[in-house]
Amino acid sequence: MKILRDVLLGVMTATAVITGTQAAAYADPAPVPTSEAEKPVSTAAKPERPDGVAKIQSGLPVRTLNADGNFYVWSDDRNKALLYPGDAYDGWPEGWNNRVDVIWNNGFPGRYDDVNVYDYATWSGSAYACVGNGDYWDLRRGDYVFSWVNDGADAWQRSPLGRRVHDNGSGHIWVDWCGNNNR
Amino acid sequence: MSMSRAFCVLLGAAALSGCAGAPVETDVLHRAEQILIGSCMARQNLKYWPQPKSWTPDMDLFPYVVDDVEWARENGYGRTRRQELGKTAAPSEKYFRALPEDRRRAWLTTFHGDRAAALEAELPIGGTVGHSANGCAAQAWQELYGDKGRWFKASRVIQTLGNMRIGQTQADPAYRAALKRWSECMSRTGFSAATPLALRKQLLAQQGADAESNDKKAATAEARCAMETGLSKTARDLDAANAEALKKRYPEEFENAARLRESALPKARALVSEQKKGNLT
Repeated sequence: MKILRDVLLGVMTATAVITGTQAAAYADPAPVPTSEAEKPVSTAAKPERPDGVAKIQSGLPVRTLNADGNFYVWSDDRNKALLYPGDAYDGWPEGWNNRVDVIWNNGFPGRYDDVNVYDYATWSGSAYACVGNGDYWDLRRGDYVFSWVNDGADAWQRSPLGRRVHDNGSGHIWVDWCGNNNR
Repeated sequence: MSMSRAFCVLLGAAALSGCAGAPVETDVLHRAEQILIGSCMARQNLKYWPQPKSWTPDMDLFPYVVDDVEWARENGYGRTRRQELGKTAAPSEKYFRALPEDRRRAWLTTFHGDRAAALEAELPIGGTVGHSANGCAAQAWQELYGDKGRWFKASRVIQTLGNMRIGQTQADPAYRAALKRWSECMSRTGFSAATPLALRKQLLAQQGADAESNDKKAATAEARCAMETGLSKTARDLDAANAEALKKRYPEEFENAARLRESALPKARALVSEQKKGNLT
């Protein structure tokens, strides 16, 4: 594991250099794929949202600062990184469910600067993990798990709690703190 | 951004539990960190406004349920304080938004770093969180704590343990039974809510002239029901027990964080003092 980590870090560092001055100045956002990474495990289709379960309504203003900041996801399968720009305060790229390998919260520090990543879409009751401002997770390394779920009766998907985030992420939303922030 | 610091104080267990340090100490350390980040950004001709330790102080006070009737009657769900904090954020948001795209990127890179150098922390819940090592945030950790890598590990681990404490409490059957009683109590007072957090979010999302008075009515009912149904006591007892259990399970992690904070305090106090005198920007 240590060797793999060193390799991954080495690749990250090397890519930062290879990508040239722009990367050095502006931080190339693209996480680096590696041949050492395990291939994503094929997962069963996720269930549909049950009737009566609401989509989370964020308190986030329509146009916020972090919309200008950056939240990145990377997929080995798609071989590219994706930036959520503009007013996309929540969501997930179409067709990327269960395919994300690296996530990076490069948002502007301030209100709503943390990111919930959901096992299902951002539905009330869905399990989630939270990425702090400035932090990144290489999901291929170690067992990142969905560590939170709504504590209420409508926590209809309690079972994904503890499931690995790797290749299971399917939604994100900006939040103002990491922790019990769902409903 | 924050954990449940004030709740730790209410428990009287700040030094012993999974809490992130005594509040006065963490206040000073946070302020010092913000001063150092501001200085670092200024050296790059970039503006930085100090961030508050928390954007949601009501959640820090009451991570499970509002259970102080007097506080609820006076503050509702802390809407006014949240709004005040929001106003403090406005200048930095306006500044950042006005920057051209390339300058925004440069600002973020200066603050967060470029990921070419990495700090890492293995989390007790699984996974290894990473952070750039060469931005102003990391530089501030280095200056304040003397070892940015050690501090990053300690801070992320302690934060995770604090969240684990809350998660364990909420998953406990005794908590869930009390929560059900609380929800039934709230229904009898005219409020439909499965959880206190759901009610709080619902109320805080409302706007208009009556919003704050509605907050106060709901929060007061919430606090009364929390006391009557035993949710308050159950949550506090479980929280304390879980904190103690985590401390026993992860003694080195807590001791390591405490040592780092303690050794950083003299410098932090000096920085804050200098700023008060006007010797620092």
